[in-house]
Amino acid sequence: MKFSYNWLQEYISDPLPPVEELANALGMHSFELEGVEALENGDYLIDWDILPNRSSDCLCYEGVAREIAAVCELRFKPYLQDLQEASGVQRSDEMIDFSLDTDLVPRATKRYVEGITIGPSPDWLRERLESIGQKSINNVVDITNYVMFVTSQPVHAFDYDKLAGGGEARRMSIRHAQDGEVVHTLDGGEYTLDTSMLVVADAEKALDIAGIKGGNNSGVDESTTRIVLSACNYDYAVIRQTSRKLKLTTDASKRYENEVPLCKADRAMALLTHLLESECGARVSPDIIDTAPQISSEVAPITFTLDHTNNLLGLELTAEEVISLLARLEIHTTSTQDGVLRALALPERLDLRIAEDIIEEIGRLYGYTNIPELAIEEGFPIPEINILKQSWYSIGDTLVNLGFYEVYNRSLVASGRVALANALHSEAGNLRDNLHTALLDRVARNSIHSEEPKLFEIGKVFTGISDDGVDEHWSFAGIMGHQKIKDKHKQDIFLQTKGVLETAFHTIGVRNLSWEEAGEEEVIALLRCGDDEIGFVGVNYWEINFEKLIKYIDRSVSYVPPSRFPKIDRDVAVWVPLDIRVRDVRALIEGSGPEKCISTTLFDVYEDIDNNRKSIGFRLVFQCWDQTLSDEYANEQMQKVYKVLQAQEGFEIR
Amino acid sequence: MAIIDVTRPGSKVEQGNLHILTKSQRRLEELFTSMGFQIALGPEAEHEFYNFDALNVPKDHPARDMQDTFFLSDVPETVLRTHCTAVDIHYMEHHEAPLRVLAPGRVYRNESIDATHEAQFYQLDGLVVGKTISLANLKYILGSVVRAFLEDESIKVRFRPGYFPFVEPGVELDISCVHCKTTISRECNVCKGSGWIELLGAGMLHPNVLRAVDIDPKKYSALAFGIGLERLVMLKYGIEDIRNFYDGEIPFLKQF
Repeated sequence: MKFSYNWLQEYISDPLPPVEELANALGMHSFELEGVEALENGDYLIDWDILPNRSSDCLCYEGVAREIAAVCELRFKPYLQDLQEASGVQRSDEMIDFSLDTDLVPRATKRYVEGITIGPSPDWLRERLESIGQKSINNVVDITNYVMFVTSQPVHAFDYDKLAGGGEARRMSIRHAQDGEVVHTLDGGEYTLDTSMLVVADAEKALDIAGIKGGNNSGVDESTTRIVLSACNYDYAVIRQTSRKLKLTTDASKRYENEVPLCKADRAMALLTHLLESECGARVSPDIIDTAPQISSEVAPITFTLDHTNNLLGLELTAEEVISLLARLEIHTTSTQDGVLRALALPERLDLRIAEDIIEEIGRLYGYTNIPELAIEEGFPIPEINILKQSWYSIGDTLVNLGFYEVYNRSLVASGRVALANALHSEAGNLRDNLHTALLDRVARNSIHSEEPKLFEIGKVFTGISDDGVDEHWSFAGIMGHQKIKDKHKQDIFLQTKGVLETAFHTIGVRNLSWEEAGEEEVIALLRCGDDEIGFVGVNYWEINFEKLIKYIDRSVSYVPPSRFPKIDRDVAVWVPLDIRVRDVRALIEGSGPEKCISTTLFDVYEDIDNNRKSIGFRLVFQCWDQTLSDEYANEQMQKVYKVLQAQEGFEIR
Repeated sequence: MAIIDVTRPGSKVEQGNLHILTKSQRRLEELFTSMGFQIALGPEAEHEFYNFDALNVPKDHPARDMQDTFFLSDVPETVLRTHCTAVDIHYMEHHEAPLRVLAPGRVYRNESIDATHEAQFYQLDGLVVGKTISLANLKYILGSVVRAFLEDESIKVRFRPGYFPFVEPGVELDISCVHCKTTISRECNVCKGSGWIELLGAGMLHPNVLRAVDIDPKKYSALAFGIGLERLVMLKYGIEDIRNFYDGEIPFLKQF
């Protein structure tokens, strides 16, 4: 909210510090400083963002002036409230028959005033309103606005003679609107209300949208001579809902939404009548209709301790220091025994309810810049490793060394299985259910930067809705360049992809994954661990459930002392029909039981399409732990292998 | 003797790069782990209770407007989390005080996308619960981590009053301007001449929040903070547009 520097000075007895200093002082102790604007007439507008917890008492000059007094150690000057007793004016409760027909009004005050002369506002008033960008309308309306900006209590003036009825007391009430009831507002707007909304009404009609905007059927105009002043308090939720439904926000509704303290109605009414008397010739009734005169000044004391204060702030304040700091905010504090303190704040400080609220006042006034940096004395246990993040980092490091760039793609996409209720636009109306679609798109865009962009991503995908809520899991996807892949290259490129993944799995310690044919055009292989399907691989891309993958991490080491004795290699290559898989040949070889064979490694696959066959070659390595093996021994073992292979239909050993 | 031209570039070994946000998270997690923080993760689609109610934000309160939230169509009372503080709540439900936890993760806000705002971004939300935890400890932890991450021991931190429903006292943390350093420049487009940059929100956890997870506020106090990762990284490297992080372009990704 923007505050005029000159206007603020009216409420401080001592000269204010220069505007920059003032702006920063409250910026460091009270609110967030947005900026300072110099006005043509030499005044300044200071824009402080009043935080939500101070919106009850500081969206007004009175509240901010009190803050200035506390922070800058100056004296707050309350505005004068001396009223002239006018004789011969009828009582408000005789002129107005008022009732509350709703529970949503904690306090309503009304006062009858006569002898009004409507005219232009005096210069000082016009200047004040214009300095904050408010238009001047006429003296009475301007005064009501002025009072709201000074006290934060919205006030309204109804034209008494426009109220229904005659002679006897005019009926006024605050009630719920009827469904479809229409109110025409002062600025020419038209609003259709429903029963959730409140209106001030007379015997026949609604007079305004309560708490938000006045109606044009009861507003003050050139002919007005008698008015009803109104300073009421509304339940914040109903004003908020009404304002949202009607898409109508005003200075009044903003304040009500943030809860106007009940005590403000008195002060506002007093200031209002004082100004009307002095500026408009008004004569006020001796009484005020008030539905809750006692409630407003009740303040519950808050107990807190010096220890708690110092523990929370990290300071070593004494009781005297605390008491004098709080006194600057007009929070009267007494000390009982044993460091227990009792604080009584002003009734408009709705934000001060618990000890911690008081401690915050102490801290900010003392100055957070005066709080030192202190290491925590308590020791701590060694934190556990977060397996998911560690695996992410290791797999990431490995992929980086294989030439991959990690990308982060957006979670909100055009299509998916979990929809947003309030998306910004339809292109981002769903949560993504996979990562590879976006990666495919990114790879296409990046082909201008690199011939073969290699990308990967690890992030959350949202696959549906179940009884427990949204199904989401960490997914791991990657893609290697190659936009259009010719059939004849597919096997090679697939093996490159498989190579990357096997390296990645090896790095994080996942073993025993099996690769099975998916039998589809796009998806080439399925990855399984036991019965658990954890992901799929296309020719040049993959997507794997990362949470499932890391479940199969096994970093256990079974140490075997390395043998110092020499190894013997034996190769075997066999022609097989084209549909035979490498795994099948390996199974046959291993199943034939060659002893002392420490590894069986594929060294060649050669396709002889013309003859409908391919050659698969394996290298077997023999080694014994405690002696040198002979060639004869190796040959004997190989006989077992040859025998099994030869027995297969269509196999021919080369 | 064969002549070898040592000035020729070495044979290219193709390398990619981790995303700068991954590297930054890793570094920050390292720093916090060295101070005893446990890393905790949680769901991105959260029940409203964990995102708001447990954090002392009642249903119709204007404070709920401060965060513009995404709701899901077919899942009642469920939102895309607007901060990772919800993860801290889950953690406190399953662990006894004293504790130190850091929850890094993706969060979502329903805001128009521009150079400084994205619909999704990263936060590292942290909490320390203990017997004598204070604002002074908060300053120490944040000051130390920021200086280490930005690799500049001369950086100062300061608190200003702030408001969040789940902390009391609540503060805003500023860091001394990384661009201006010794002479504060009015032309500085980062700090606009103030010499300070707003970085994050923090404070002492509100007693209602502690009570919601069965921790006695008379015995324990807690400090809490939420670091916006992109903001910190953009400050460190002078990155001008947050959308770069999510556009997946190699010329951006390879630079860090």
